[in-house]
Amino acid sequence: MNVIIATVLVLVMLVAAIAALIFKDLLNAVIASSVVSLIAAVIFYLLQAPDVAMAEAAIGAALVTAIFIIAIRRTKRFEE
Amino acid sequence: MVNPVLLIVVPLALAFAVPLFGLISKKIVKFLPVVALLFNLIVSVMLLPKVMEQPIHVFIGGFSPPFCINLVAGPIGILFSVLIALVGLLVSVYALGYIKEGAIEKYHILYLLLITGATGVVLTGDIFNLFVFFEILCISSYSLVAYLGNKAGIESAVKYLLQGALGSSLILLGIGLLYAKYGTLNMADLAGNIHSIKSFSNFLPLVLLVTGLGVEAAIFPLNAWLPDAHSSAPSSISAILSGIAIEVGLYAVVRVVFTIFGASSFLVFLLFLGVLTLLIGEMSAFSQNNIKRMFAYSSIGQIGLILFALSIATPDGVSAGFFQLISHTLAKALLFLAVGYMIYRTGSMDISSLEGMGKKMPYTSLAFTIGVLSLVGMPPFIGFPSKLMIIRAALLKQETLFTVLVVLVLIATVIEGAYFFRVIQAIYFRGEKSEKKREGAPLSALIPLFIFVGLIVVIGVYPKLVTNFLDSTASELLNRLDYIKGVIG
Amino acid sequence: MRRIIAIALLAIIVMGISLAVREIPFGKTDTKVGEYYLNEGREETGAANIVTSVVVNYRGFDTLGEIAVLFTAAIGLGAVFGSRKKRKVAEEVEKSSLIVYTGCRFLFPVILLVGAYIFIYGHLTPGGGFQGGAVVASAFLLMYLTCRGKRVRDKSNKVVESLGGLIFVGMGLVGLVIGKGFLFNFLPKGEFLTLFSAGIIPIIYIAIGFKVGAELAGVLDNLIEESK
Repeated sequence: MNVIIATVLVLVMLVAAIAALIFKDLLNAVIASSVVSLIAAVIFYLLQAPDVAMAEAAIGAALVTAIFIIAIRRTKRFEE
Repeated sequence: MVNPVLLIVVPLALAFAVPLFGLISKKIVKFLPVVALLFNLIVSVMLLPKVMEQPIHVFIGGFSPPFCINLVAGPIGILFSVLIALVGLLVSVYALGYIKEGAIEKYHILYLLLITGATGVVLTGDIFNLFVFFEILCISSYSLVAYLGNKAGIESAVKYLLQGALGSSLILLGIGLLYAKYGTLNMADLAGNIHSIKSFSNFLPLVLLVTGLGVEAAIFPLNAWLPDAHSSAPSSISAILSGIAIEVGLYAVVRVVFTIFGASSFLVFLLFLGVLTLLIGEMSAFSQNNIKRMFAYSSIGQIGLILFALSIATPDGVSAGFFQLISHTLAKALLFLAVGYMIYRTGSMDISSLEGMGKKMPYTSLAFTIGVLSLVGMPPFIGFPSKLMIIRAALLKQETLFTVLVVLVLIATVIEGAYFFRVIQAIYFRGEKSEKKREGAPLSALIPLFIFVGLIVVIGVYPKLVTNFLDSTASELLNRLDYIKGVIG
Repeated sequence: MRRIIAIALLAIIVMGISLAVREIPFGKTDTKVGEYYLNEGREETGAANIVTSVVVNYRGFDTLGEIAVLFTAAIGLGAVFGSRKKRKVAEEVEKSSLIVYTGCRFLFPVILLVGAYIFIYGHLTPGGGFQGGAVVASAFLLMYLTCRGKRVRDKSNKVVESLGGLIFVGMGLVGLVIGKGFLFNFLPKGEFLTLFSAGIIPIIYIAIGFKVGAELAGVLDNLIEESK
């Protein structure tokens, strides 16, 4: 059962990471990369490392996404 | 006896304290790096004779290795520490008068952190600690390259940052693989467990670490960031980057290859890479018109030469390599500092705009010329005995491979002489007929320039002042078992 | 063309790593240094959270380095942004609606409290200085997004940041002064599982928590202020 959950999570993470490269609207790409951070936090928790999971969730999913969105607002939103 | 940990902690504590001092008065902020580096210089020079016989081991936290982080203040570490403190002190005195615009307080904080990172890399005995201090060095140099805030500076800083961040990821991957296999992060403990690089799980971390650390050390395919970064930074920062940062990166590569992995079969590859870097650097410098880019390519070439000398892996070769490192640091820092004020007076970085400088800024041009002659390898300056030692060490191996490589090194030296003489010709022999007013550089710039000149001349005439220390450094690098026994016992 | 080279390089690295990892068993339990920390960590340091005792006590020098890395990044950001001219200070910002503003005023101290709890009890429960500091910074992010017009005061931010770092270095230097080595755990270990146990570990984590929180809030302040 654990193996199935872990495999599904890793596959979703891979799909989100590739999507972050492919999207042309940079806001969508940032959201995809925050999905990668979120799933990484869940996987860390499943591997019994709560400290790392907490750090990844607070920093990766919240602060990094906010900084990227502010950066997109100051530059351009769509990538050619 | 002073604890070597203070060499790292004092600049770091002063870097944390600079904002507090800045709230009291803005004028004393620029003297804080001078104070910290003076302390570092005095402590390192005091420790230097003691570590030549017996390295000092410091265990942080009071536990014993490999369960704690340890510092190994050996001959190489303290020699590098003296060099870093000396160059750092002279450049910080230069910066008292040179840095006038931008966020001055933040410049000095980043400068102190760069010195902390560099000193930490050379003194540590634990590979993850090396990575942490290496990151401090890299990130502060990214910010200092972008310090002026103009378009060229920010673009070069972004290029440098992207390549450096990629390199750091590779280093972290290599460290992770090593920890997963051996269960320890202490350099001496890893060295005791790694016997050969034939198995793939030993070979891959070596490749990852050399590639990642090689980005900062500017070895051939990984040095695309260097010409832009060193030419768009403020001149005092170019002096520190060319003089300290890439040398510390090269130290990290050499420490990993020689001490942790003990890979003597890998050294042939590094030999070729060194000569290739040297030739490409010198040939690219030949066709440059921007003086700082020319110096940056020359730095790439010299790093190739130092890597070649260190990969000869005999005591003569390693001593010659470290001697060439000292000579390059002193000469290149001198050149960047001298050129800084010349560019400030004329406002452009082209070589053609330096014509007539011999009359306008006579003392600065004299210092500049001495630096150029030392870099090319003319007696009685320090470049001559260092290059002679390298060629002698390579020829003593008496294999045809080394003789061929020596011929290539000599060809590169001739190319170097050609393009540098073009610059000297512009300064002295093509003067502008019109304005001849003398506006020399201020005293805060002339004092460091002439201390550098003094060192170049004195060590060039009496190289024995330095070669005594170099023999101990060579034996530390080549005797892996003594290193392991010293730390773990 | 460039894409093909990038994919080829990536494939080589992935193949190399999988070949190397095949010789290393995953999750093996006889790691040398890890075993020692698990067995001896509780008595030697007195902290219930072994991760905390490793991060602050056994490898505290790395933590000091990481604090310096974060400090460098924050100051570097401030240096690049600070070289522009300052925009005019009093700009008209659109006020947020009443519900959002009241929600922010209610939530902001609660999130600060959660963050403070995480870093004060770092030696007993999972968490610690960095995690708590990040949560504190996300409270400030909430403030910037919803209660617009309130800003972090620049001077107090700098003072908190500097003092946090200096307290950490100072704790280490006390160990040096009493002759036992930098970052030696010189305070009494106390009773297990109480707040005042594990020597200098809670003090260092509190200093780190304040410092990281102030730093990240300063970074957000630099970014958001410039973008108006």
